[in-house]
Amino acid sequence: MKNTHIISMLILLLLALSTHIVLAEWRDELPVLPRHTPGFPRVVNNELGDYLTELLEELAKAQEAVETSDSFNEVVQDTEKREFVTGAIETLGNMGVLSEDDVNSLTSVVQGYSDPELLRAISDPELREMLIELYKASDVSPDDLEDMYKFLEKLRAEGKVSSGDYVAAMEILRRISVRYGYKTVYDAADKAILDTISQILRSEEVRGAIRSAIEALQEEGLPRLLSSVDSTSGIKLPELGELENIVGETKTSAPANMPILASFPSLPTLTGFTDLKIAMLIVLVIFCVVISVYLASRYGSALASKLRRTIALRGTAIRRIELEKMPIPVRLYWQSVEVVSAITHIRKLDVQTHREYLEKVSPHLGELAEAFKEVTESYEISRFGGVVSRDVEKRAMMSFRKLRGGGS
Amino acid sequence: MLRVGSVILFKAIKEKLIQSGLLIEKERELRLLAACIVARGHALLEGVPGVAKTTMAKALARLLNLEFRRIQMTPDLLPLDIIGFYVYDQKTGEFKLRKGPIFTNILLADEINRASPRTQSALLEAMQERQVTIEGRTFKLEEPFMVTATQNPIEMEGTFPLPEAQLDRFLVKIETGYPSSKGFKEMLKRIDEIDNAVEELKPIVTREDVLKAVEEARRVRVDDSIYDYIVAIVEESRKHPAVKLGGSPRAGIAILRLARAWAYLEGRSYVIPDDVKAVALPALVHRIILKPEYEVEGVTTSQVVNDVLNKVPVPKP
Repeated sequence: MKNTHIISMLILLLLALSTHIVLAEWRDELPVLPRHTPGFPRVVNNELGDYLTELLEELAKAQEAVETSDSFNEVVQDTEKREFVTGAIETLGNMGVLSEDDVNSLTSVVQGYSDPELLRAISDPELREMLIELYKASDVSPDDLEDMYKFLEKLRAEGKVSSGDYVAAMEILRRISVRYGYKTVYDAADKAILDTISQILRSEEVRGAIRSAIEALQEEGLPRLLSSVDSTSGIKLPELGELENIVGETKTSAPANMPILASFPSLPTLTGFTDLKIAMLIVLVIFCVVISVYLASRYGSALASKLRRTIALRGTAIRRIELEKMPIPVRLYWQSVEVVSAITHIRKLDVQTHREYLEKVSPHLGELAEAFKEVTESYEISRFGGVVSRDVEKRAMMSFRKLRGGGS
Repeated sequence: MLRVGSVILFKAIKEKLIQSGLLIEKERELRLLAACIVARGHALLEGVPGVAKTTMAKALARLLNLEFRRIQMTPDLLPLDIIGFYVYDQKTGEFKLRKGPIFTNILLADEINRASPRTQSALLEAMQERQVTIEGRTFKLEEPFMVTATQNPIEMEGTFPLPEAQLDRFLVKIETGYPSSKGFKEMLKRIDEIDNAVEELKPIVTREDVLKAVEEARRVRVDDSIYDYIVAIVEESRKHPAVKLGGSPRAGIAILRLARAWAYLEGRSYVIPDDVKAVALPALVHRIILKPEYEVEGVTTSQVVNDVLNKVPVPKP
């Protein structure tokens, strides 16, 4: 009876697996069924939704880090703020909002890389040459620095310098100013860096990238997405109406405290069940269950017995390799354990000592208990006592034969 | 088989006590005490009053032909009441040493947690060093030397609980409880015999035999896999979710020494995993500190040790 249950369970498991495979193949053809209880608000639980939520939170933290700082120096000095800003820059790079060069330059500045590294990070060769000259100059006047500052501002205004190069150049300027103690230029460069990073984080490109991601969530991500946006106060995203325009009319239900509730929560439709393939699948499953119950009741015990023997033999083969180096009484003991566990159906647990196992199986072994006790004693002496004598081996061998039913 | 004189030590002790009617359901406790002597350790007996803690220690001392003394620990007891002091002899005009009760083989420190921390420290120092210093002179304590301290787990008022560092000095903590109904009835039937039996017990070995046993127990074989097993148990005790502080290396040493003594008392010249399992609980139970949240839930250190033993695989193959 016990075997019948085991076989039934196995067949059901196989059926469940095969059904899963069939469904996976039909996935594209099957109608999409609502996943939740009727009335339960839908939430974003796909990877894209999670990714977007994380992205918004990351950008909000970076913006907050920049906006709550009085100077760029404050961002550099604060490990947490520095990491937030660096993380946001890298993310924007991954999203394609910033070029690879810009990401390198900006990261070098925020992470406070050395002067040579910073100079190398500037991608514009002419600008780099100019800055190297200024950096190497033995005597730099405040006017020189001011001129360079104005020059950089002009390049920026005309769009002739990338954000990364501009920030890196300003950072070089800031460092040179520190060297000579020119506070005015230092403050101006510091402010320029901070403002530029802030502008990057709030740029139209960033908003556009987020909008694209939202569009990808058009089907089921809106409520939670908006809730996330609401919690990340630093991010200025398109207004609600604007979002709805982007993603179209929302079809999902949402809790009352959500920013939007376009209609009453929608109920899942049952139209999918009318599909012929689904009906056929259900009939097939019922048929298989009936057949398997019949087969299990008829051939279950024989099959289970064969299965158990196969598993036991496989285990035995592995253990034999381990045991080859051990003394004969030790090998005989483990073979005896297999015999005893087959007779008594009591397996030796890993946490059970040889004496504990002997105590447990002895009442079930009848006349064979004495033989197993002898084998166990021989094992103990050889394994832990380090005694491997002919006598012990002989005693173990004789007892093992008795146990196996081969006589002495 | 290892023998002391002509007998397997614990078997002989047990037989003698059964003959005299003294051993009623306290075999495990008695064996642990004997193992403690052989392993050169000290024992902390925890149990409510009236569960034969003193009788057990006294009977063991008599059978092993060892000197036995008892101190009733009280808050006003001073260190010199235990270790001894110099008194001025008016006749000779010299100071003479008056040795304290610590100069014995088996010392029963009854209700150790009633003594002041200062007195406890003096005793525990002597336990650790196996010597005492009186007025700048150091005296070695005679071997074998074992302190059997008792404490009551219920009464906490007016006590000075032993800190964990001092508890660690005890090789074992033996938790002893009430006998079963059957055992209790048996005891009541034989109570008059029991009273006299302890005084009438005759030694089964000499003091020298005991010292020899201590030496021989050190030579008991320990297979490499047994060392691994002990290490695994102690390390697992640190990983248990309820544990704030698990077993220290000293806990591992305690298990090893006790396992050797345990095997020796049975007349075996090698340690088996069963020995380790048998001694792990008394060796670890007082060295583990639980997290308060688990303690209030009623989790005990004994449960933790049992969990550990049920998790760590025994040496295989």
